[in-house]
Amino acid sequence: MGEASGSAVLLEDTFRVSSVDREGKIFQRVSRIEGSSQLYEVQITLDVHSELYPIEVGQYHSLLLASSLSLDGTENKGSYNIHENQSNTLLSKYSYCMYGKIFKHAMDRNLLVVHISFGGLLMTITGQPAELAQLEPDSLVYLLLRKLY
Amino acid sequence: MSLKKPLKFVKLESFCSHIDGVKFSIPSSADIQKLSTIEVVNKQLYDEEHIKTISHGLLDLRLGISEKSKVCGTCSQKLTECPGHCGYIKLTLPIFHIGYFKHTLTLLQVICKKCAGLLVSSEDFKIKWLAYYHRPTKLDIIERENIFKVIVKECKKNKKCINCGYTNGTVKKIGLKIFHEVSGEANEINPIDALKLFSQISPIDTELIGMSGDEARSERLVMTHILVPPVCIRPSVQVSQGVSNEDDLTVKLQELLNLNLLIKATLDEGKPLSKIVSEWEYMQAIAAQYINSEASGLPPSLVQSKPIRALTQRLKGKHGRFRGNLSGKRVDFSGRTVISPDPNLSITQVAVPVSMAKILTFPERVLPYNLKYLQNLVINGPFIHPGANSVEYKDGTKLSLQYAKRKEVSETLKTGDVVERHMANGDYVLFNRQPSLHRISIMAHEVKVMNYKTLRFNECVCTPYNADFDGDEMNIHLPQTQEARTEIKELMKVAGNILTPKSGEPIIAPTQDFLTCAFLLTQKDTFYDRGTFFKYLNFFSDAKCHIDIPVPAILYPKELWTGKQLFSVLLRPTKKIQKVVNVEVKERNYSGKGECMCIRDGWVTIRNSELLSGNLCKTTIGAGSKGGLIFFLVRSHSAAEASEFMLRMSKFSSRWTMEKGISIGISDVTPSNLLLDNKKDILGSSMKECEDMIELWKEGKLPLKPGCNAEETLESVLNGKLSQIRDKLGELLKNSLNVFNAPYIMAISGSKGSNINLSQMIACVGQQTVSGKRIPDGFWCRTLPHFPLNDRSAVGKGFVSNSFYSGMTPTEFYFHTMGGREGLIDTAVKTAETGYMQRRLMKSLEDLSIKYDYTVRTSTNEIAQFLYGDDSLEPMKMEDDEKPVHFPRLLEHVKASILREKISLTPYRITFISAQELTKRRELNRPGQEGFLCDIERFIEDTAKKYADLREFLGMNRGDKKEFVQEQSKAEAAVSNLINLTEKQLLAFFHTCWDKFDKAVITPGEAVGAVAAQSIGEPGTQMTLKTFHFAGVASMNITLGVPRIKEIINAVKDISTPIITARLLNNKSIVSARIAKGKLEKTLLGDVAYYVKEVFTQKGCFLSVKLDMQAIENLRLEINAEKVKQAIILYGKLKLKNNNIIVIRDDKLRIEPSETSREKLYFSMQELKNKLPKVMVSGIPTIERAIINEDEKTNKLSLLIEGYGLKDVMQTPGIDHRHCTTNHIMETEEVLGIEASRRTIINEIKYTLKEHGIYVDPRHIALVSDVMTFKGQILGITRFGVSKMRDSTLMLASFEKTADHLFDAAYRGSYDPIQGVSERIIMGKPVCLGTGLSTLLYNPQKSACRVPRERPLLFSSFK
Repeated sequence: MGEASGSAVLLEDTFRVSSVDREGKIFQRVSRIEGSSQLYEVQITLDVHSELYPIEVGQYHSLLLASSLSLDGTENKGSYNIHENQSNTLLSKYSYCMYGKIFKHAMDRNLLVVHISFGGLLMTITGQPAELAQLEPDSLVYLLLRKLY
Repeated sequence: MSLKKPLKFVKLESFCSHIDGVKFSIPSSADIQKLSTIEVVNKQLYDEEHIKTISHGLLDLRLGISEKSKVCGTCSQKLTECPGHCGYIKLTLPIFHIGYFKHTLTLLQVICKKCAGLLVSSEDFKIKWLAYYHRPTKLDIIERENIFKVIVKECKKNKKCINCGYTNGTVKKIGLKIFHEVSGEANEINPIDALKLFSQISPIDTELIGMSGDEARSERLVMTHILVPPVCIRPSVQVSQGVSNEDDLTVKLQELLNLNLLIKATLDEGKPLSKIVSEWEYMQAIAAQYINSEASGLPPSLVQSKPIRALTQRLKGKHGRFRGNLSGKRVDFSGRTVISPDPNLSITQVAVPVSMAKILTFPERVLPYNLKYLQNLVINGPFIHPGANSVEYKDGTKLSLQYAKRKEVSETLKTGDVVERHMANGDYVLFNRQPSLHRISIMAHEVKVMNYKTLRFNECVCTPYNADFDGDEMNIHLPQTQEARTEIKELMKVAGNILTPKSGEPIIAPTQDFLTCAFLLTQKDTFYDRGTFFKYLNFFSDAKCHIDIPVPAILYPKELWTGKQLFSVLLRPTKKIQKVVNVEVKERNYSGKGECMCIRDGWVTIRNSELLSGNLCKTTIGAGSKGGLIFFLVRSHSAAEASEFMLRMSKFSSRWTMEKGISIGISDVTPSNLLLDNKKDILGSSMKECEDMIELWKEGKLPLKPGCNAEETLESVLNGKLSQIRDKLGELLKNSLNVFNAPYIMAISGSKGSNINLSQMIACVGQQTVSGKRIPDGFWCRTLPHFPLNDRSAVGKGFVSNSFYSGMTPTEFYFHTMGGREGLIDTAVKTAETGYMQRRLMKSLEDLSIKYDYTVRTSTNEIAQFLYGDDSLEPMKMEDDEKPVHFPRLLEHVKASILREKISLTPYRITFISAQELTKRRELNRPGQEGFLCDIERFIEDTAKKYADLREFLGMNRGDKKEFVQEQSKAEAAVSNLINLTEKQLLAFFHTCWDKFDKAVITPGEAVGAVAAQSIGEPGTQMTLKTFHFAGVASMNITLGVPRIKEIINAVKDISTPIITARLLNNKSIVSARIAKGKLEKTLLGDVAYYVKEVFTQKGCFLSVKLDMQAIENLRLEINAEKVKQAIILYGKLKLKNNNIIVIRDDKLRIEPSETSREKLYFSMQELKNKLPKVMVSGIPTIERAIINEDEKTNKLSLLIEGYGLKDVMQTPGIDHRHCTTNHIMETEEVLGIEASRRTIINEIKYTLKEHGIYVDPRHIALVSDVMTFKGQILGITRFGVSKMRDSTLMLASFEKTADHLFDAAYRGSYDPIQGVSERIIMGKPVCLGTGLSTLLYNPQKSACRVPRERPLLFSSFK
């Protein structure tokens, strides 16, 4: 399953951006993007910092949801450490990273919607329930993005 | 130990004899003499030189003194010690006592004027009613009044005395005289006659007429002696040497004395009778004035423009003795100054200026543990702040520290001494702002002594006090005993009052700027880098507390934290705080779809104290909602937690907002071009519609609304349309303004202002109204002379299309002032009205409390409710729907806060565990819990079923059968992600439920009456006087607001808008509805007659009436000529007989006048012609009109009937009598009984409050309603009703009609046991509510108490 090893990876996929701020730009520095993934066929809605990571319709991005940044998959503790060494982590391979929490699972017809909040920047992943079972409620996750083309 | 002065630490009660009750009676002349020290005979006050007071005069030194320089002649004490002594005047001729004049009159009416026997028809009658008086149980007030009425009625009816056979006439009063009219001749009954008659009345007869035996003898109603009050209550004021101003009472007494001597002289000299009589009459009037200067029946010559302050006047009214001095007293140890805000204080604190702290002291007893502390205070003395003002030694001597050698004093301080120390940090004080409309207008705050001159507190606490900082002043009181201090600390502390007892909603919560701050901070695009984030973290913590820093939301390419993360830290600074918050709220700016994915970020999710989505506005952190954060903190955790959060929030807000800066400028209210275009469109189209409407109206083609004429229809349609424009524009603005616009921020976050204010400033001021209608015509056919006659246009009737920004035209401005003035007058009128309403409510409900058996009783142990609120739960502790637990929210909280497991419980296990828990709980058998248990049961069943359904939907076993075995599989894991309920969580759910229920059970002693009165009275101040349209039917207005509440509470017989709502048997067919309507509505002949013509022929004259059969058919009335004939005959005023009316055809009749003489014929015809149209031919006379109402949802028809006559409506065919209700309370009682009217009162109050957007817990309303009905008849909360509910004379005297109640009590010889709240306050005893509910059954100290032994008098054994 790609570069990152083992248990830390929860979801890895490539998605195509189908819309940016479909219902109008409400917030200055935050855009809501929507897209559908290629591999797992999940729908993705995501708020991103539009100045730090500008996204346009039609682009392809690689997405990784992981429970830890370290390459060896050791668990993160969920608290901030200024002196943390960020080299040799997943960060080096991606260009945008957010940290947040899975907080809600809901059913939309026969699809499961997983809600993740990155300090208020929200994300939903909509897909088959069985495919998303590894995304447990209340677990802390890293979201990593990288533009492909 | 000497007991010279009772020490303040111990209740006075234990040392002094105390008052158990008060007995009222009329003093006999002997009593008066016994009370007196001297007889007053000298009319002179002073000697010739005006230096000494004259002996046996009104200012005799033996009557007490009013000047500091003198010494009392009786007790030789000084002004401050001498209580004063009475004297008396012996009257030469007896006179009527004005206070008992009514009683005297009634008494004379019921006795034989010859033998003074009661004028009853037989002795049996006496015996029968006497038995009632001698019943072992005490007579109820209503019973007593009724018996008295029956006896008086009986005696007034009988003229002939059964004893002596004398035939009595009627007794009447003219002025201050009483006359006996026998066979057309009026004989005066003068006081001498009355006195003679009264002294002959037998004891049995006196008892029958309501005077209780020995104390109240009837002859005492007539005055033979006048008691002269002590000088100290009628002090003379020395104006200059030789001139003094005497009190009104002294002046009147002097006049009396003068007259008394004059009459004596006249009698002695044997002057003509007429002279004596006129002097006697004059004296009667003066004596009346002495007692009550506003008495009716005084001769006009004596009525002054400014009545003197006579005895009655001294007692009555707001500033009279009862309300001004006995019920409310001036107090020591209190302070008052201007208030100002301080967000750095906790909500529980108050900052007190040092200058104030140095004056307000607390008497602290020296004990070994505080010796050092108090010694230091003593050394500091009165001028250095934590100091002390004086020391009271154990032996009772007091020493001021101002001039004492403080060092020495501090060294001699011993255990048992008392130090009056300054108020210091940590003391508890009562903090109060008038008007004290509810109990949270007075709360206990912790003192923080600070510099400067104002009292300061956290802004969050403004709401309960209704305070602002535009110059408001507030009071503080420092309790003086440890008991009092503990009591206020525990029972009245701010933290205990975050939720209002009115409804259980939070009332202390972040307001205004704090909301603005929270809104801006939690915007989705607020990001902070490390430096800024860390700085902000210190804003709320004072850099003192431990903070766990969260991982930034954006880690790469730059570390950025969001505002929401900052808020999460503020909510829960460290993970050491175990208690977490779980809240989900639909915010004010929720777009309506997507829940937490709402594009405006209007869905707040807080999970485990982490703000995950949504911006925070008023709904989440503000006051007044049960779904919010503050409510959750208080209910699920503790008030302290909530209070700490509020402190952090306010500290943070003030600093953060200061740094960010928020300001308003002209650019904020400048409309954009887009908006102007939109406004133009909206205005244009609305104006067009209005003009079309007016055009239609002019042509007479306007389709009428039910029950309205064309003009009314037009007005109501136009008013509705034009009023909407402002709101429409406001809505538009809300969506078009951005987050940099200050007014918008304030409106959205709920800190100040609303859409309307935005709209008025930026877009359009809107339609101006006066009493709910467009501006009325002030000129002939127009509002102002600027408009053409009969102008109905929007502009001409007060529509203001400009905004405050664009500026109003002169006419617009004028209309705007008209609307504004109405608002001002409204508030002015309202405050007075609600204030009085509040007072009455309070007086009638003050002594209701919960007893240990959970009944609600009055102070005299009358039961008002058998189980408080039918479930004995406290309104303050209710969550949604008046229930103690909101189950879905609790379940969510439990699920989030308790660690989840991989696999969830199966639906079967859920129901199984729940059943177990419920059985365990049922065995406890707590009162009132059954309903609650059923609610839980239902909720758990629903939840389990929902989970089972979900499992089924996902293609799994439902899992709700015992046989099902759960296995570890991927599918189970997936479903557990969705459901996720473990056994631990479920048990925690039940545990919390029981806990909340047990805590919600009301505490015995709780003054539920007072709380209910405040909960109904306080919202009154928020209501406007407006009447609103009735659901859907434009023409049918019903009174709302304060006037309606007043009507309900007063139990008014003649309400302004009586409406009967009737369900129809056939609620689908409009035809049958019309038939029923026709049968109900009052229809006059004039309404259905085609014509009423005069016909003059040679044969005779008659009136010809033709019925409009078409109209009759349309209205579905059942009227024909024959019926009209019967109606005319029955109509009494016309005096027409059967043969005067001839039915010609089914629709035609001929009416001949009964008077046929030549002179009168014409006039008789005219009279008939005028009166005939007013003959009622069908319907119920009390019903003006009925309107068919169609329910918008169900399309069912019902009738709304304006007027009285519920009984008649119920009997009408076609009406479903089982579902007829009226909003008239008295009528409901009459027709359906007391229980129905109780329900009506509850429903009507609830409805009225709801229309004003006010929510009050139904338990309060039910209690008010119960008090109005528990006597078996409806008693309004007025002076009449209250005097039927309460027997206590003192309480009634302190309410209204002070003197009347006192005289009445004396007449009856009644006894007041001092049990109610008012009486106990008057007597200075602790009230029997709350902590005063329980007392000692046996007080061992009492026997040791030093009550003076009664000494035998010289001749007492001789009796």
